Amino acid sequence: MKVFPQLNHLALALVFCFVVSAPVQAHFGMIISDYPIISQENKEAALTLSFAHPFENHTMELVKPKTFFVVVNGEQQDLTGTLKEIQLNNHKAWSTSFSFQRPGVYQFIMEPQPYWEPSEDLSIIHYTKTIIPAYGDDEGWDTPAGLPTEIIPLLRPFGNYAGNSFTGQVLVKGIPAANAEVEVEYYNPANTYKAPTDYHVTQLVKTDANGVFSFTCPLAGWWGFAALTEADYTIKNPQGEEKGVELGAVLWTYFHSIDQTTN
Amino acid sequence: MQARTLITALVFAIFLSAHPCLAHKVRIFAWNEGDTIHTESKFSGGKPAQHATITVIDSNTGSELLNGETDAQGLFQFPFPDSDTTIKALDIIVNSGDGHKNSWHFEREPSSEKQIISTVENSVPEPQSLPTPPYNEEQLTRLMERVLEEKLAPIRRQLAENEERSPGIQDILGGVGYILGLAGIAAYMKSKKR
Repeated sequence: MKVFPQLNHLALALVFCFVVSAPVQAHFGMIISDYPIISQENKEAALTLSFAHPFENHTMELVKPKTFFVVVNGEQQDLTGTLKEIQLNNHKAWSTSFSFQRPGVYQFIMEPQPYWEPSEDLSIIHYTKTIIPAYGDDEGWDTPAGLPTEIIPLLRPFGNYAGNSFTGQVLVKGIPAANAEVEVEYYNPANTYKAPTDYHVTQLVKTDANGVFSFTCPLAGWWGFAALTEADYTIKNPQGEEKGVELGAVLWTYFHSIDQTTN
Repeated sequence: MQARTLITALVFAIFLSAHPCLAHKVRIFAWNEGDTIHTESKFSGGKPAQHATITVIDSNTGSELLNGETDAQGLFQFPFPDSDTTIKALDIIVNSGDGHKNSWHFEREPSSEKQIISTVENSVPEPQSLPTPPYNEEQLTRLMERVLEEKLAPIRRQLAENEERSPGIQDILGGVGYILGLAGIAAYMKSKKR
């Protein structure tokens, strides 16, 4: 009987040591535009591609993406060659400047090289999508880009206010993914906000039987949704061992504060 | 027969009244091909704005230069008013009636030559041949931007690094964890002594 309180103390100490300091971080592929909506006042946008923990503003190395392209009005344009290497928080990231020539809803898509994450013993591939409308066009934002996995927005993914609810459908190989986990993070580039607990850093919502999820975004800014599924194949890690692959369908969408009159 | 006519009339009435729906904002986009300026007017949702009035004004003086009407595809084109070389920019206004109005600002000089320098670390530009004096305004602006960018690059980098160094929430929580953990171990030792 005497042993128990002592054990409790030790256990408590260990719990505090490990649980409180354990970094619960979600990885997100990111495509962030300096203008979420293109108008005649700003016809060009700087796009930054990275791989990061968006809320904590912690960046990882992003080797040159396998492909980066834009789909608009049914046409696809490869932009991989326009990417320039930059440093974001002292880690490799990529940037390009895109000039919007015609009205349209532009879907920017990045397929990165697999990222080997030793702490999770798997490789990560995040198919990342950001949808930017130009000059008043508002059609085509729900057209699938035909990615191995992707989020189809059911809420028009632009022209929304903080406090609106985002709704999307997760597709894997074009088929709705039921019961899939969708991680949600707010992009917090200036560390403006502090999370009360680690749970708040990465929030989580699951899809229903039709692969649909809904999430209310309380803050103005970029919100990222990463629907995670396990690939039905393995790839080699840097040591040459066959390991599992986490596939992410990532979508970034911007919510405006209501008092802003422009972008 | 009469009932059918009535139904047809009703259907038409519903369709016609629904068409210029207030939720449909009109927008216009203009581009040039050679000396011809093309305009395209649409409602939100993608329907072309048919038979909408287009008015072209000189942005500087505000005087009307020409007007016309869009076709069934919402298109309207006109030659750039070349006779007057003082005209530098146009405002092209679409009016689809019912208070639906919008405009597009068209500048004679394409503004796409402007290079946006957007990144923190990518800011040291490649050396390029200097334009020979006398510089025109645009060249001078570009030159100044480049010099400024070169001077600012190290400062920006430092700022970025400082931002990186400040403790994040993870560091703080980690620190708290260690403190609580050590306190826990101390409590354990104390209770053991007892």
